[in-house]
Amino acid sequence: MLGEILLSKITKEIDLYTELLSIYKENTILGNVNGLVFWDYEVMMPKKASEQRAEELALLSGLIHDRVTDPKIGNLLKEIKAHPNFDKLKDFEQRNIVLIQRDYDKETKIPTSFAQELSKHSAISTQKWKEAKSKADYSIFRNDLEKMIDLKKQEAAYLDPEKDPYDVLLERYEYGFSKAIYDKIFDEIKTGLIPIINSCVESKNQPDDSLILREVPIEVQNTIAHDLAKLVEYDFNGGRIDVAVHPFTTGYYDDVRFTIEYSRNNFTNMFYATMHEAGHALYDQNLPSKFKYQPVGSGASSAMHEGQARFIENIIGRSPEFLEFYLPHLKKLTGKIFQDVQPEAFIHAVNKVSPSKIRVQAEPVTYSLHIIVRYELEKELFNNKVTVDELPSLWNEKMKDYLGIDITNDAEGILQDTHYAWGLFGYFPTYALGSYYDDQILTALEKDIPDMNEQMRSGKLTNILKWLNQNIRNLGSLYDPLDLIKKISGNEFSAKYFIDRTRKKYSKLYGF
Amino acid sequence: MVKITSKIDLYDQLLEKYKEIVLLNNISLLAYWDLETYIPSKGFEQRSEEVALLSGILHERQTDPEIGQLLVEIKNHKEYPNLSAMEKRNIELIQREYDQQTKVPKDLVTALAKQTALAYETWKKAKEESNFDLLKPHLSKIVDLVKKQASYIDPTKDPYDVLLDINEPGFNREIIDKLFTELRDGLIPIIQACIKSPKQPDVSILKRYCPKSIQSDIAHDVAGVIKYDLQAGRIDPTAHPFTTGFYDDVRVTVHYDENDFTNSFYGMLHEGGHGLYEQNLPVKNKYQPIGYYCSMGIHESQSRFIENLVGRSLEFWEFYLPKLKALGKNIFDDLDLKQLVFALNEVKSSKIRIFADPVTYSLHIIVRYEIEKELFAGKITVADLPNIWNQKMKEYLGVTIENDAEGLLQDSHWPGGAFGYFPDYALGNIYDGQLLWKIEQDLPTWREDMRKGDLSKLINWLINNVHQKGNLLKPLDLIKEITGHDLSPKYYLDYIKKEYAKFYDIDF
Repeated sequence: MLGEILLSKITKEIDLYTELLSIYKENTILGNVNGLVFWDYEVMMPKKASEQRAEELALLSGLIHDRVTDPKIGNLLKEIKAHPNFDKLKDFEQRNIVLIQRDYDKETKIPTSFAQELSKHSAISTQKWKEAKSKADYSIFRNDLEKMIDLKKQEAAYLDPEKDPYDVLLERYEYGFSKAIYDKIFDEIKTGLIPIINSCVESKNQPDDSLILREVPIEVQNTIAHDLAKLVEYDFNGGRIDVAVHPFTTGYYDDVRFTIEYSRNNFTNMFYATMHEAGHALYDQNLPSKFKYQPVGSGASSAMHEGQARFIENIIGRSPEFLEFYLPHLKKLTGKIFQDVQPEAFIHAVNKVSPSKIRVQAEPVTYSLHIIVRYELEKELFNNKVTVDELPSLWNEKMKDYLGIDITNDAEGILQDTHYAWGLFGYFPTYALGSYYDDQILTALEKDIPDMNEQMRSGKLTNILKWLNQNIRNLGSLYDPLDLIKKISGNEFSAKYFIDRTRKKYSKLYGF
Repeated sequence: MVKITSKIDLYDQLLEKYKEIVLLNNISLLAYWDLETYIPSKGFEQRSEEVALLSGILHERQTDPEIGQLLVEIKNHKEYPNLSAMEKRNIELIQREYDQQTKVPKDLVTALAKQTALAYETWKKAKEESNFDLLKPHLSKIVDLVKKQASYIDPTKDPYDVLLDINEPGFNREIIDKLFTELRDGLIPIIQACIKSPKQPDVSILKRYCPKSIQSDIAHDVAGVIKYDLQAGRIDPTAHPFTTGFYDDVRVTVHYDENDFTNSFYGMLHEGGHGLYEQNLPVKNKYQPIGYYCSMGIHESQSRFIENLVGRSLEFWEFYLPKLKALGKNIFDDLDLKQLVFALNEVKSSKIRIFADPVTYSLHIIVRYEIEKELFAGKITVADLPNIWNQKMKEYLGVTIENDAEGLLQDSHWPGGAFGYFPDYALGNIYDGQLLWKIEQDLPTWREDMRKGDLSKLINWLINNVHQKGNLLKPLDLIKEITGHDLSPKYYLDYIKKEYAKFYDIDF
């Protein structure tokens, strides 16, 4: 037996995929904790605690960052992909791997020191932006904006040095998108939408929107909000509605909460905030529970999420049919306030089209043009065709061209949004996509439920909501947004459905 | 040779690590608070995963070997003797926590966690069926495991002494024996005299319907009277009242029982007392060990001071009854000051600890302490518990326990593995008596002030003498520093005699 060496090895088989997924699960849970802490901050926290809370949030986000950039994740991904059995993984398992890889790349390709510089600068530029906005003086913000743009270009280069920087940023916020796609859609939108808006504005048949400005007591508004949420099948056993300054939704599966705000003299703020946030919440409450804590168990994309919110808010909530159904309800809940209001007047009033200066106050029709102004400017900025100094006047020009609006100072112009101070370039376009997704999705829904309008008119939303569950919410992020749209509708993504439906709906309301 | 070195401040590094643990703990406490208050019904399972992950991370951090290394390096450093007393105290406290977390082997921690979870479930059933036999085998195992745990933490000491010291630093059987014997022997005759007095309160006047909304108004109002800061806290309803958080975010909860407003009223005063302590800890030591409260017993003294010494006094009600009447619409109009205060101070032997009045309460604790002590000394076994329990209840409180559900199965502490914890509740009373003795010297007009509704001097006294001291001193040292005397129950007994002689019209 000489020469024969027996090497005994102590080995143990570990399931790499399970290990990777369990890391992902822990990170998701920590993200949920973060969501709760944030919710509490906005809704429940006593006034004096903000400093203490900031320390807690900073620690938590540091902890999460350490975990999502853990090299162990990168190693596991490599090992799994190189494994002979990789091809035998199920589709959804492979999809999980793809999604974890994408997140991991986003988190790790940017050096920590650069990420710190970026977050430091965004804190500074946010301060400057606030000051600039309050004084309506762009020059205060100008230098920090310029620096932010440079930083974002550098960030894009870290993420993908091969690609055009603005394309990198666009894809970062909505997977599969690029300038090429947005250029095409937004051109269609501009061409299609501007004449519709002009016809609405020039029409002699204008709504009387004073009726929605009637005072409604807060307690009554609270009752309406809960009534509406129940109507769209928001699950109160898995969530709650509270009051906060800015409406938002947060949570995961069995605990999805949203907030709204009440303005005494315009109940529609509460009304549409409830529908919008409930739409977000419904998405999260109805994600596929078999995929809970897996990448495929989350929403498909932020624009798809926005689409689901707008579906409830606009497609249902601003439809003549639903409003016709709901008006008697509203009258019952509000006592004498709306007794004299006729359905036609009510429907027209909440669907008023009127170009405005401020994006967040824009109605669903003109909203896209606000986004297009931003998109076109960002694109040119990143192509170096426009300088930071030219931004304000170009902004004002475009607002005049597209919306016929005169911007008289930068506070109501280029300085209105906080996004650029935060470095959110390439993000605005996702806001517009949601509605385009919705109208394309609707073509499939109408095929499956041909009498959906009739159902809405009788207040029967169950079938529509079930359809959304089966075709969108229950699919989690098994598909990328463009693939999901194609799978549902059978067609490539296009903005024409949005334009067609808008024309149809508003020509009827305004009579043109 | 060139060396690339950099100086790091080991003390700062240690304190930074500690701060992160505190922050994580705060997050964890917030998740618990939400679980008890506003979580939607379906959210429990999801939350339990969150809480479990957080406590796992917390445990990793608390047992981080780097903390142990830093402690060794700091203590061996030549500059260590030059640290300030406060800095040394911080190090001592971190060492204490680190030892408690790391000295016990993981297997034992897991075994205990499993056994207590199992025993807790069994306890619920045993209590329901009033059958101690079900719990017996589990409880024996828990006692063994807890003993082992104690001997890992300090093998040189008696296990029960170790547990007492964990719960109230500086305490042991010898000290508590002395305190509790004097307390017990002092209380029993007082209680007997009250019970036998021909003058008895009419407690039926307390039972009246009061809607939750009004009780909530009252709770928020009285919170202001005791200087609980609603800008740094909030009051919410829960089944069982509790206080959580520290410094700028200290939340209390109360239970609104529509047929017994005293439940939420005294819940608010008790939790408000806890809350005041946390809100007024020394800001300069925030996130440091010495920036925490002194001990559970001292904490309990602060809640009981507001609840009982303030909230059940005639002077407080002289001021507050008119306010109660105003807030209560017509509900309390017929209440007479003296009758009300007498009813709120009824002394009555009872079987259940949590329903006991403040005077008999300490005897419930002493029963538990005496039994725990004997059990850990091996003088009695788990099987003997029901008999001994019932015997002592008869002897000290004169009540006859008919079944185990109203006897030793009433509390979940033992199945939960919490031995050595009960004494804290009674120590709170003893501390209060001694603090009061000093307050009467420092603020001779405090009762007069209270009659006018002005509690500011009293609360400031508590803030300056107790709250602001954080955890700079051990409880016995703190009491001695404040009052100049060693801890003794005689002050508390004096207070009880004086107060209850008035209520019951008797001479002690």
